[in-house]
Amino acid sequence: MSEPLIAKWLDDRRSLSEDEALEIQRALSADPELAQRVKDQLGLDDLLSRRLSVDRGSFESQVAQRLATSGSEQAFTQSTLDAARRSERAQSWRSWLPEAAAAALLIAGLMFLLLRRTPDSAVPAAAGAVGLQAEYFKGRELKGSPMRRRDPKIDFAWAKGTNPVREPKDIFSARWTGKILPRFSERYTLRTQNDDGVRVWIDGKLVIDDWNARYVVSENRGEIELEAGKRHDLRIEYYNGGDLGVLRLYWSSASQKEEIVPESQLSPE
Amino acid sequence: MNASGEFETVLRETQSVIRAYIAGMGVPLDTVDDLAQEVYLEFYKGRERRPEGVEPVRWLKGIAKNLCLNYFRRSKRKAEQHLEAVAVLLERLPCPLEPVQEEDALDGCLEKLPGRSREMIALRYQEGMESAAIGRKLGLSAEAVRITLLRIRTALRDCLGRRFAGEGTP
Repeated sequence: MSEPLIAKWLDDRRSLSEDEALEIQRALSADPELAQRVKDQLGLDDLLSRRLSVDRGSFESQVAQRLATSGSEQAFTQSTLDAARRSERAQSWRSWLPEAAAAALLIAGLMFLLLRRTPDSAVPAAAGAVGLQAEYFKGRELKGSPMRRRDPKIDFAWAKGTNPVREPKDIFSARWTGKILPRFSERYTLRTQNDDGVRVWIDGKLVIDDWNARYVVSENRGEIELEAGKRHDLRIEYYNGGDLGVLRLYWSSASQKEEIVPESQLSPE
Repeated sequence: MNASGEFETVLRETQSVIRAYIAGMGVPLDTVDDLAQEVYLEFYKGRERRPEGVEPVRWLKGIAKNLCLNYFRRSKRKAEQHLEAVAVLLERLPCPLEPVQEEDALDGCLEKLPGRSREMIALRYQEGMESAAIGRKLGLSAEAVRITLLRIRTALRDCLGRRFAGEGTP
């Protein structure tokens, strides 16, 4: 069998004619050494692909996604995604890749579920004095001329290509400012789900600080004493390093069941 | 360990082997991941059916073999009938590149390639470019690119072979 035919088969198997496929079948059947060399080529092809292709990084999360959407099992989806993150961090080949691309691809599985139940909840600025004032910037640095709007709550899952500033690679940052109005006077736990980085201040105190690229949706917690009926200053900063992005803000306390901080307890001023 | 935890461990520890197994049967590279994911879906859904004493990886390979052969049978192209026979033949051969740790060894071999070869490998596997596109970029025919890639892979295989035969760093 000719070298060009082997090369063609390895490169583009779908383009083979029936005659060419038959020739390959006959040649490999007649020559075990040739068959082994072809097998080695296939192995190298796969090994190189696994090592170098960005698509390979999300395999575990894709399996989790398919299991969840097939109705087989949902309970372990997050743990599987976490395992994928640990696995990916251990692989030095990520240095071949753009950080943002690798991070975005690894959250693909979870994003499917998030997007189904969490639309971008922005409302026009004239909607009333609830929610938070939002500023969106192109790039990660919270710099430049922002796009401003009012967001009722921090509950976002931006799919690829749907970022608020229409940045082609979905690299953007945002700042939300306003007041948070607790219902109880006690120690609260704030929790974020974020991809990528987030920082949260209350009354000028940095409660959550995770200004890092993330490979899957991450969780962060911080505690602070809040006073019922008092409007505490709230500032949140966020950046997305590319493609998919997630940010949610929850609160809980001894008396407050955990929930996404509702718009009724947020105000822009 | 519960079923989810056990599955997670199996998935993490065997995915490279299973993908290599599927690729080694001649399934097109852009379909390998998809088929491998199906293998794990079937494995999870049928986890109660795995006989005691049968290692997960062996069970997974059994599922993978059936799904690969189904892949060729599903095609309406007659060429695929011959490629199914090739898949059966290839499945019986050893796959010396299965172990995941060889990915690390590969880095050393890639570093030793000439710049032009490394560029071609990067275009093919990192950028996902087809041979015709690589050829246009490098001023070569698609066929020349295919043959060059074939020879580069042979060189890498030899390099890995030397490395694992104990002849030192390639």
